[in-house]
Amino acid sequence: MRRILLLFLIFAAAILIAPLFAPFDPMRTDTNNALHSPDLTHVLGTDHLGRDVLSRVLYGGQRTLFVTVSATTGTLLAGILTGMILGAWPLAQRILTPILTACLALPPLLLALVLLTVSGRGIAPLIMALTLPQIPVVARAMQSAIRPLSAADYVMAANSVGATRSHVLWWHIWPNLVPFVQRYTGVLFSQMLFQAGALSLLELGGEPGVPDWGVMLADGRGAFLYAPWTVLAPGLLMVACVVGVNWVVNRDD
Amino acid sequence: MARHLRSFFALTLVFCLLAACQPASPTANPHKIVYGLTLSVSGIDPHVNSNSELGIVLRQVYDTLLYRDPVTKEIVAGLAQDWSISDDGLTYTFNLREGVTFHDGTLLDAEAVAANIQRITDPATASQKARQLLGPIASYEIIDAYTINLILSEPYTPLLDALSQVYLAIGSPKAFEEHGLLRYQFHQVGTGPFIFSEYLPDEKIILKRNPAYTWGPSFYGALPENAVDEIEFRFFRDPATRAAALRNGEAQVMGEILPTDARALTNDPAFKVIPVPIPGQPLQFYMNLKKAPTDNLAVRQAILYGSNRAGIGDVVYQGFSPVAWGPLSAITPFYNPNVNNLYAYNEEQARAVLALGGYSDSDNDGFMDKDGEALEIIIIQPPWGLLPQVAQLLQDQWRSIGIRAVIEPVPNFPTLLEKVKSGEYNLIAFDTSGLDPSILNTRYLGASLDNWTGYSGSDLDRLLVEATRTQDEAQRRETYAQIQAIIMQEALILPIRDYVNLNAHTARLTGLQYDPYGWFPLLYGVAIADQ
Amino acid sequence: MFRRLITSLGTLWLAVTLTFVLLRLVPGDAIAAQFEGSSNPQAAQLKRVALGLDQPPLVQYASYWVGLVRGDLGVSLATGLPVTEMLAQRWPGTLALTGGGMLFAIVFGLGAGMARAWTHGIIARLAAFYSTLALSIPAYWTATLALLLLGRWFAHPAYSFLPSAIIGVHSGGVIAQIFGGALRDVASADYIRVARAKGLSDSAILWRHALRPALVPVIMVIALQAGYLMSGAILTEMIFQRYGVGLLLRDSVLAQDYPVVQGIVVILAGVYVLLTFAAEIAVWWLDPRVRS
Repeated sequence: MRRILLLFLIFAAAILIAPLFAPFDPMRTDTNNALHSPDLTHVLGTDHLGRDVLSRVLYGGQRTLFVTVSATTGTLLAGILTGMILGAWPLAQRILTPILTACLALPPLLLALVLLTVSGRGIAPLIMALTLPQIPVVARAMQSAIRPLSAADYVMAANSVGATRSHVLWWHIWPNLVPFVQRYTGVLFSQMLFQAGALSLLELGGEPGVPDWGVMLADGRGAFLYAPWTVLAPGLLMVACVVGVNWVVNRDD
Repeated sequence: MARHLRSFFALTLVFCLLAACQPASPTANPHKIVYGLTLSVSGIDPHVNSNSELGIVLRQVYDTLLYRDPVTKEIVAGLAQDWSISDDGLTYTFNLREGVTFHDGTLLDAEAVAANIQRITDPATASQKARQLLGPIASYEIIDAYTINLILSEPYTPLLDALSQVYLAIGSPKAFEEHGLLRYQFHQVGTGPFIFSEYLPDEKIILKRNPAYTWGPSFYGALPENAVDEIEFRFFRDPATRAAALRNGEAQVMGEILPTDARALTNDPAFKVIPVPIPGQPLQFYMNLKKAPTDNLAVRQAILYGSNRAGIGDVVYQGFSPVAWGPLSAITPFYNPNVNNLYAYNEEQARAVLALGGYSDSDNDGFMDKDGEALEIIIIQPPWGLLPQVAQLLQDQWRSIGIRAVIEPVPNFPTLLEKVKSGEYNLIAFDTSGLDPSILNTRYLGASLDNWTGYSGSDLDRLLVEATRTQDEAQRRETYAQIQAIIMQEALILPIRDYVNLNAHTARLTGLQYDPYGWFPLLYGVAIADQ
Repeated sequence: MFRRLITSLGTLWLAVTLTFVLLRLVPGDAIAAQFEGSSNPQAAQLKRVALGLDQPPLVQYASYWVGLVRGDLGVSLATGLPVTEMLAQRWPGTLALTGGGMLFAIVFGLGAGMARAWTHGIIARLAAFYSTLALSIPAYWTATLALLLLGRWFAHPAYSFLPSAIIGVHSGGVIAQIFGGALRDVASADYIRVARAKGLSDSAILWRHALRPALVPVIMVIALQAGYLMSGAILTEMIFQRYGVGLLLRDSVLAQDYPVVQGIVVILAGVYVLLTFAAEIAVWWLDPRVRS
């Protein structure tokens, strides 16, 4: 529990106050100073357009973490809920399963393109583009994990004394599902973290120029051999976040 | 248990170590090269499709009636050994070379050329570029076995230039018939120095040398020792890995290298970088005169003065591209050097122009406004040509003069066209390449559907049409000079940089030239030394 | 069995319909782009008519289904080639990449999961390190680094499995996380303690009693990963120039080439139906509790 709190505090701090420490405007370009290696003015160097990497990392962290945490939370909530409905109610299972499988076959790129064209730029369409394709995946995974749990003896025992389905779900199935959910959260967080950058590589990214770790990671591929600092800073921070989240969710390590 | 796992890991380790042994570069055929193309294409039929990738490949497979000398840029004989134009400019007579055969053995004659013209002009072909290049062609006339007349409905000077372009390639009518419209692109037959061998969409195109080729244009010369006899074109779509492919021997020639990579390769003695300037329109933004605030000349001029294009060229293009000053790039024929330094970067001037136009920062938010309307520019930015970087730099540069720029990225071409249709843009990026300045017509003629600036001026219209009707070079030069001046005086576009295609190849390769259109390599005389 | 067929058809129908609608929500199509700048609007319109795009959407929808029943997936708007042909050309490459990738993923993932749960000391730590690292770096970055730094090796045909290996490393990380955790959960279950009390050896316990139930939640994850890789390994395909279905999908979505996207979705729907079905069978076989 302590671990979760600590992680939450770190993320909240990053989202809320990190940008205050930025020495420069993250969007300020400088054509005389592009790809400059780190020095006293620019502690992490400058990127390919002369922007200060440190400032972009701080602002980028705010946006990236906000998007990732929102997307992960949204997906988990929707996915777990759907998965539990699927697991508990056979009728729902019969109707929802084909719907979910159909949604699995929908290319996430298509969804991203539609959202981009229809709702335009902005954080909300981006979060939607990340969340929607993953919900069926999570739901199916949850359903599969719930199946053996709902066949367990204690469930049969509970049913035989007339417990309602939601009672069984909440008191018997859910506590045994939590470890799986925790581990899946670790996986999902890392997938969401990199997806925004991947989308920008596929030219379906969000607002151009706005700092974002994933986008910095993707943009930096071209200049990596000549200016590794443009990638190392956001990259290492992303690694740190994933490690941190996994440290929290794999509590028995 | 641990025992099982240990052996499992040991095996994996051995496996990885095996994988770590470095193999030699595979070249079964020492006279084969791999040429890196960069974009995926939907088709490679020169009469049907319009992409430049097909030109890169097919320039070696086909001859055209005429050629352009890569050094002098003059029109020289190709399959047509001489030609004449009637006084009224409507009839072009071509005398074809004799003894030329297609790769399938059939003879090249006037009938064959006629069949090609027919194919290009047939509406069923739905030609995307070739038909347009032929312009106002009305009919053809076969005079004898090796003489053909092309008859126009109105004078059209760019015709000779068109006939030297690979899109008007002369292919074998027998092959056209045999394979049909859709399938011909997989079995192309020309008369050129290389034979079309295989095409796997998105994977590769293979050409093999034509040993019977003796009718090349004058600048082809003699075959060198170690001449290449097989070329495999492969698609390298990820810009970040193109130079890497070159370095690790996967390809011997690579096009459109990232400027940062090109900069690094110039210092590497194992490779040669060939920056090829591309004539035609430069990388530019059209300004929309039908939407505020770009309907105001003051705003357009302020945009031009407020853009540090030299800085952009340094940072985005690593100094490989010169700044563009007008609607044509500097190496295009009839370029008007008087547009140079028009609207040179000058923030003071930009602010002054805005002030004269009635703009001021009345609400002190750092951005200009007028009559309560904030000065906001919508930039439509497609993802190609490093435009995202250009747009971000422009956005930041204009902040200093109080212009707020909103960048709207469009992920693909159809969406870009939709934006044009909707009219909801102030600046939109697009350009075409070509050697004859008549490419300006579709963009600047008032009535043209592809006129994205919305500017319609009777002077400009008259001049544009005149320039395609007169054969007199001096007069064309004068007319185009006026056209370029008008376009810049009206500030219809924001030119950024002249297009320079950054090619690189291994130093073992010799004889690589590019034709005057810039995109298309001439691979006839390419040779590769052994490692 | 029959019910399953009905639901599979329902899935297919829904997937195609959703795609159809989504595609038409984006304005513009692949045809206009081809004739831009040629001042020839009639050519574009003629082509549209020839391809049936001028019909109202419902008619297009109906005729698509008529074709689908006959096995005709239509013709690409961009290339004019039959969709079935374009897919047939690319699918083997994708299957090889994905199949190989999943093989590596299963080997790495299950191996690392087992190592983490059942060993102690350096091997367990390495396994934990591997699975966390595999999640902390996106696959496209590893692929880029591999190509930039180790490029020579990739050119050789004998090492054509390397892109699959890279995919496998990352998908394996996902599997390792879930599987390793499941194994540890199972280790504390009652029946394991009973088996230990009965005096069974460690390896007998682990292999015979812990492995199968721990696999249950992982099987579906594996199936879903496999399905995702079919169309999701786009960046890896692009970086290694393996032009499979992923890149075709990306190109067609961006070109708004409806028939190709729809064709891919039809196949993907079938693939997912098969994969999830196989996963369910595997779970049924693995866990006796589910059988009842």
